[in-house]
Amino acid sequence: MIQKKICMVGAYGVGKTSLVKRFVESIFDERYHTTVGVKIDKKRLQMEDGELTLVLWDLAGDDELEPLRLSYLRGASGYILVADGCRESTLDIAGDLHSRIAGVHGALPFVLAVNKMDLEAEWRISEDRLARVTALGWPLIRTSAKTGAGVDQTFSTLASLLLQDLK
Amino acid sequence: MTDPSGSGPGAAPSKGNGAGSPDTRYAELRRLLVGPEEAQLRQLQQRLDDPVLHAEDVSRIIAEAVELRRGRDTRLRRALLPVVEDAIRLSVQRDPSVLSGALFPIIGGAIRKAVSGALKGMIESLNQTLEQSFSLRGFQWRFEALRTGRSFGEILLLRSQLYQVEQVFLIHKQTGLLLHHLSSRDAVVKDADLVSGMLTAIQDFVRDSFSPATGEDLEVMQVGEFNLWIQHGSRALLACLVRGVPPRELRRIFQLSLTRIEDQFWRQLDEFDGNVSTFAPVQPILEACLLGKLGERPRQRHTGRWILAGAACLLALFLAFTAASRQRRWNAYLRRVASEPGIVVTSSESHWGSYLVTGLRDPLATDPSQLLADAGIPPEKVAFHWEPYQSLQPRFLSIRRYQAIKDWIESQSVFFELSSSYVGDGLLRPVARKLLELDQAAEIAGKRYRVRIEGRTDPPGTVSRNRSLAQERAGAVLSELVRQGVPPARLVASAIPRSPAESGAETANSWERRVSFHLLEP
Repeated sequence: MIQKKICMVGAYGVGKTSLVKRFVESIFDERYHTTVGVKIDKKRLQMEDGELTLVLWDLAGDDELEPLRLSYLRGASGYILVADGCRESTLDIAGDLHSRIAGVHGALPFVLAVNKMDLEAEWRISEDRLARVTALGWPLIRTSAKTGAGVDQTFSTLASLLLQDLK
Repeated sequence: MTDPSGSGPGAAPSKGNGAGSPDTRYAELRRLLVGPEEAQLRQLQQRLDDPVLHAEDVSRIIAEAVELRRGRDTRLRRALLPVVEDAIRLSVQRDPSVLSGALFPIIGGAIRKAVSGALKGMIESLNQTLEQSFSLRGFQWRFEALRTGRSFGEILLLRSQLYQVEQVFLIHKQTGLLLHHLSSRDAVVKDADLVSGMLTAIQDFVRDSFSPATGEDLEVMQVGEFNLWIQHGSRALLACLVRGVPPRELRRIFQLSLTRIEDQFWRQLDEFDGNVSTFAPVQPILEACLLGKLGERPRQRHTGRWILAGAACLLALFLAFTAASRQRRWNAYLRRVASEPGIVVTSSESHWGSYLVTGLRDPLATDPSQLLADAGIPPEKVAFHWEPYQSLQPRFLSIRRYQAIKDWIESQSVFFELSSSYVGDGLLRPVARKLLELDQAAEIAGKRYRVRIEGRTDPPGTVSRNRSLAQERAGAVLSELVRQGVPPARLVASAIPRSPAESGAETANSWERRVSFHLLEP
């Protein structure tokens, strides 16, 4: 049985916790975010080569009040960058976080989830911009924590990346 | 063969054969064909022979070579080991300060940590001793030691071992992933993977928030009766959840277990890629950490408490019962005293089991202290303060009357003529009347009596004559009294003759020729 630690990072309010909630059952309360700055959940995935357990560290949103504790990424095998499709600035923050993490912990497998795809009317990130991100080679998945669209795909994509890394 | 003109490349063709000697031509050919390579070869030879140049060459590639070789097998390491050892030895011999200076940042920290750990342990043990010596629990244990006759140390050991290691987490330090987890039979276990992750997160949180510079670790967490002790190794953490009051010794056991795990599994820990099944063999080491004696103890302790509570209840009941029965006895006694004729109780007080009774008491009344024995009250517990008075109770009146008549009768005498036993007419009437009154009073007062009629004589005369005369006189008085209505059963005649020897003077004496009365009371 393989276990992997992965982290959810992104700006405040992009829906990291909602994505995790869609994906797992948790024993911890959300108050942990405001106290310790992280909430830990777990998901078992059945992969081709056997069972993979993802231990998800859902880190509190990065903002002025609560800067991301990069130390929480220590030992992580990969991470999910989350941005909010209705706020373009969150994509910038995601990019910034990505380079900060790479700076401290080296290049790790990651997936970019652009969340809130259900809110079409309020969507603010242009297709152009997204195409540029894809062109960089970033695995990009549009998700909706509300409808559940793309959620499983996000986690399973990262899981496959982690296993590739293992091979 | 001499051909001075035919040697060297580019020399002019000599005469004789038109194109120089064959040797010369060969040399010329060789020079033309391999001249440049020859120069290169010479250069190479020079580089190989010249140590300076050679060293320069090796220096260019040595780092890459070492790296390559290190990855291939362990021979390089083995080869270098004695060299490194020798070098270190030499360095220490030459100037120890170099190596100690280099190692200080590592060893200094380690020593500081070890010393502070030892000090902490000492302080903890001192605290524990002080706490146990002066706390309520300490006194309880001292009492228990006294009660059971065992030494305080023994009780301390017995009672301090009220703990149970409920859960043991072996956590990979780098990732925070759970490598192995064990729990005791009754422990409540939440998802150990998540607990392990959260524990690591909290470690990071505490370190980041409070001691970023020193890099100290969180070692103890305490919630209610639970202690979480975290042992930090270089590659793994051992977190043990202990319920109750763990002895200090336990921490050493945990540390030893972690050291054993790190020694045996250092490679797996270093190369951990998420495959936790490689850590299954740590199970016996962790099992050895699941120590504790909680479980049997609480029941025993509760039994003790129940016995104590029961004994306290019984004692309270007994005391209440004793107090009530003492009060009941006292009340009964007071009622008895108050009902006695000639006694008036005006007040009674009690102070811590002693009593004071105040009142009026007729001297003829029963002595109340005589009644204490009957009531089962110790006499020393009771003090009396009686004011004397005369009661008008019929019995007391009768007793007083009886006493008065008795006194009067005993003061009476009936006088006789010389040698006569004749009782004058009517002489005995007052006596007879009083004797009848006495009879009535005695009946009411409950007195039993007889009146001795004592016949007397004066000295003159013979002894036998005097005796018979005394008897005659007593008999005459008795007869006369009976005649006047006094019951004969009350009377007894007796002679007290006066003998000459006794008197010493044989003179007639009218005072002694008489009959007197004396009341005989059983």
